[in-house]
Amino acid sequence: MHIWMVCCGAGNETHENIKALALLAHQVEVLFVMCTLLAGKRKAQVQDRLMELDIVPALLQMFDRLDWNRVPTTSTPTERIHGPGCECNPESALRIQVSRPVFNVLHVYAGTEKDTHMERAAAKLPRAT
Amino acid sequence: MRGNLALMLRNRECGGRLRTLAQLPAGVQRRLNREYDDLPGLVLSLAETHLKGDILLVRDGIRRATDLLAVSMAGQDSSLRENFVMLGGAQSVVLCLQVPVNAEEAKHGGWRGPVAQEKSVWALRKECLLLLRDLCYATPVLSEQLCSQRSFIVFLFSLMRQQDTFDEAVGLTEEVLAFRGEIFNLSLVPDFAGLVNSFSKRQMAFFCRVLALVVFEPEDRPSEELKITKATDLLTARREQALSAAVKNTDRNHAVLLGIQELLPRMVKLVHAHAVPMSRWADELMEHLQPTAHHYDLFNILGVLDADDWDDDTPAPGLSVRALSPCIVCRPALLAPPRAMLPRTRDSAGVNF
Repeated sequence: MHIWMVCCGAGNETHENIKALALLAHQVEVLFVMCTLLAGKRKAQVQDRLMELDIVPALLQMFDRLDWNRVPTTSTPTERIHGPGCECNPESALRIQVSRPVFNVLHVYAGTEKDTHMERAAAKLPRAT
Repeated sequence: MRGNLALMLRNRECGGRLRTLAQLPAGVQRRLNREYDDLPGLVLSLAETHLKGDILLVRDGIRRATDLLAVSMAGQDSSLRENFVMLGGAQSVVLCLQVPVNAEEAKHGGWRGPVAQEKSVWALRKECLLLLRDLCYATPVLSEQLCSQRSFIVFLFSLMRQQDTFDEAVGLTEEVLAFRGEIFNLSLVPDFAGLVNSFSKRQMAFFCRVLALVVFEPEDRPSEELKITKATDLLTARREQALSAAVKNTDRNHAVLLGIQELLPRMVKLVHAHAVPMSRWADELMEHLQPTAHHYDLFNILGVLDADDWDDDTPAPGLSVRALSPCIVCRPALLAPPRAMLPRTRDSAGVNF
């Protein structure tokens, strides 16, 4: 009811927020598709195109906004995704999907003179737990 | 119409099975109805109303089926839905889903009745998609049946062109493709590039759930046969896969996707998308967004436009990103509406990282 009241009186900014939230809900899948294309047989083509499209700043933005230290909420063994002992959680899925394109892009930059930007980004990368 | 071969074949296919049920003695029918919670009668009436070609009766039948099966969904008991599928109810729903939206479709589909208003047909299709997805969720055997029907999958893609049915079509397609052993070939979808280009940002992001199932090799997925416990083994398997000369459907799909000029720019824009500064009600809203995929309905309620928004400026930098989506492996739990949150009996279309 509270949400209904707030949103019905909302302006354009709130509408944009709602749209942004809807996009965030599928962020893992978006990154996964991109990573899979980056790992396919046409990966050179994908890498070149993504570089043209300034993927690096986008990934850096994600790095900055991702909460790397967030502790996953504890759940009982029966509630875990792959059963007892499974350590998967939504946060780790997103962290991994963000790390994959960064790793891939780092490879593209490796050996070139343009790598300072990505090296800086890599230096900021905390250890995923 | 009597000479319509499609009509004859459809009557034979649909009527053949159900006519047998109808020809049973009345006493046996009553007993079956008692034993199976009135499901035989419901399935029979669904098929009959479809054959009559009255869309109002068809929609009423779908609603009755949804209401009846919702009881078992709420009770975490899938036996009612399994019985519905076993009695041929799902096939009747598939036929109802294909109720023609215009005269040309009616001609080719062998539809007997008058062509109904387009709006009411799309509303019916939406209800059918929801029901089918719930049935697929609870009865894997139905997913197996549907995933073997290539034309049906192509039809599902065609339903994504309509904004009213987009969310439901993507949800059902995901359920069906997750069961498909062979990767679906995207080049079979007519004007696939046009379809993708017509998506809004939200639709494109949601559609990535389907794309994830067609760009990834099943050999790479963790399975009972392939036990990979070390990262090096996984890398070796992937390297062998990448070096393989065989052209697979995933390679074809990669080619189809990369042939769409706007795809990568739009995906980069989606990566750019992030949360803007939000007030305290945002957390509460996020909790509500999490279990449902019917964001279009939510947008409609709130008056948010879900149109072509690719040229919009990227919102200002905001709060840190919180992972709203769970691990891809548990995506069915995210997709399914709350009433269908049931334990799954099969491996989901999980993908490793």
